[in-house]
Amino acid sequence: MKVLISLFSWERNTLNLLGWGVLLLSLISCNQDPILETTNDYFITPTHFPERVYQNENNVLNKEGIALGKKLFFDPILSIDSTISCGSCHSQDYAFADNGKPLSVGVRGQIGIRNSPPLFNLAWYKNFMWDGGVKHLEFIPLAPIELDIEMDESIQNVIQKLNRNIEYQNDFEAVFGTKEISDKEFLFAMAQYMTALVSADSKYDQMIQGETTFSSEENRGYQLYQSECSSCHTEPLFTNSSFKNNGLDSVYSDLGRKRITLNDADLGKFKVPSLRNLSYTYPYMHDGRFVSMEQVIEHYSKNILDSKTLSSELINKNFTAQEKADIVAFLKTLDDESFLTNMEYRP
Amino acid sequence: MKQIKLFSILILTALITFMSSCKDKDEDPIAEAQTGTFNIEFNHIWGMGSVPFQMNTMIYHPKTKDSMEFTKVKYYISNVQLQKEDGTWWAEDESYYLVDLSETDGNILNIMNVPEGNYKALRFTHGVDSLRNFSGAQVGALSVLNGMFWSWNSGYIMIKLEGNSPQADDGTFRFHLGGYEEPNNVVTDKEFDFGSSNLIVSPTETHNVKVVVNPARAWHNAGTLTDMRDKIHMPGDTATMMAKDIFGFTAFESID
Repeated sequence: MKVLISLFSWERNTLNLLGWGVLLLSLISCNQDPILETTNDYFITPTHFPERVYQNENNVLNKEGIALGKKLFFDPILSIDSTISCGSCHSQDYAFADNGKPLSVGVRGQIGIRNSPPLFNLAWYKNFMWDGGVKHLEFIPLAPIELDIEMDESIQNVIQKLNRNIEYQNDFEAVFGTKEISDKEFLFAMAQYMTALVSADSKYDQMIQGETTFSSEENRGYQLYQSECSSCHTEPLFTNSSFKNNGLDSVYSDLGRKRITLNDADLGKFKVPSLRNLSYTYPYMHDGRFVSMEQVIEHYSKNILDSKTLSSELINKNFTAQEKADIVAFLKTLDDESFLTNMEYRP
Repeated sequence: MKQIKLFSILILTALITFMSSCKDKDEDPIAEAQTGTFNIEFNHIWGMGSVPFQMNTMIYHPKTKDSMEFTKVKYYISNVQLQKEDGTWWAEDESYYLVDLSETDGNILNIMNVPEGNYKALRFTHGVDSLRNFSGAQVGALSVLNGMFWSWNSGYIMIKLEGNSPQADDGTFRFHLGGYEEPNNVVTDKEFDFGSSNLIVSPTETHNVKVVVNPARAWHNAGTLTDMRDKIHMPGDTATMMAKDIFGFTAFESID
């Protein structure tokens, strides 16, 4: 009270200002953790989507955080010899899949073992990778960084390199309030960018929201999809995130989900991929064996191989030529061109 | 003169406001009461014999007959709890520790801000509880920079044992043991009754609860390094057996 009175009654000019300044400082100084102060979530869930899985009140999305994650995503500093970035195998032009390649190329020209998956709507998944080995969105970057045939770098080195870089020190300080970069802030920034990659504006999405209508061909395809495909490729994400053996092989060069669980019942099972953006994410399957949607439909129509772990939903579906064309027409309604052209995602 | 005096009062009062303004936020209700510290000290023995466990020294495994020189021994301890005399339990918040024998005093955990009192039993978890394996990026003992995390099959490495041995075909051995999901779950809850010797926690004295760990137990059922010198990639039958063989024999020794 004494302070306030003296401020008002005494010497209007310089000392007055000084006193208010010190008071103001004393109020500001308690904001120790800027990220916790952010309440304005930059992320909006599409109205026809379920609640997202990835929620972290300590890592609330904001414009600067997403931009930092993006910078890291496209920076080859993450690989051992600075030749490969996340963006090398996840290109926006292909819905963040790898430029039509069945298998991707890591450091020193090494070839990967599975098809590089597209990246979108990740915040709705409980686990990641074809075998579901990564069980939290924030842990995704560790796998490609540390895998010898991908980036072959250690997370310890990545953090050291970032800490030696003044630009990154400033970037991290702006977002997380600390120049000292630890694995937590690094993984948080990456998580912000990955979470921001949302694809929900295809013709299908517009139809669901009553903004457009399907052609009769697309409608027939939609009905076929609902009766033949939707139990695994469930709307609106077009995957139920389960692991299935879809009858590609009866002898397995890749154990699939069993590699993680060591359970024989998981042999040859892989994560059900989303059907969104298929026009851009060819080739298909965990090893990229099919180059066109027609080949995939042909597989489900008559080439399913039986085995102990084959998905119980699957028998050869014997689609007619008309049905195949209808299904392809429907699948193309799931292409979201705006996702490919969104400038917010560009490096 | 009057000006200067008033100015000083002004600045002083503002400074006091400045210094006290953060106090409310930082104050922990427990810290208001009297608290103290105690240590959990892990003593490592080797087999049941007379040879002490030592890092960077060739020691002989009494059962497998292998010679082993340990260069790395690290494991997680989490969720430290103490039982009060009335039977209720005090549990430490954010209780995660990495025992690391390659560091000086890396076998001693300082448990701070414990309410003053007499305690009759100790509980902790060997490993990192399953929830934290699913919780995303962490700090401190749980930072992935500690090299105790599997990247392609998310989860903490609960025990890391590495070293050299003439019995191993390339002269080295590496065992990274973990797993927090059945049937390959190595996370083990332990409870030690102090018997007649209560642990006294007070602001003025710090006592050590000594706990014995026997790394030789890892090979009690797993057998010689000639047959297996490497188990690093992920959870599984053998890793589960080896981890449980160690954790199962952790025992309370004394309080001093």
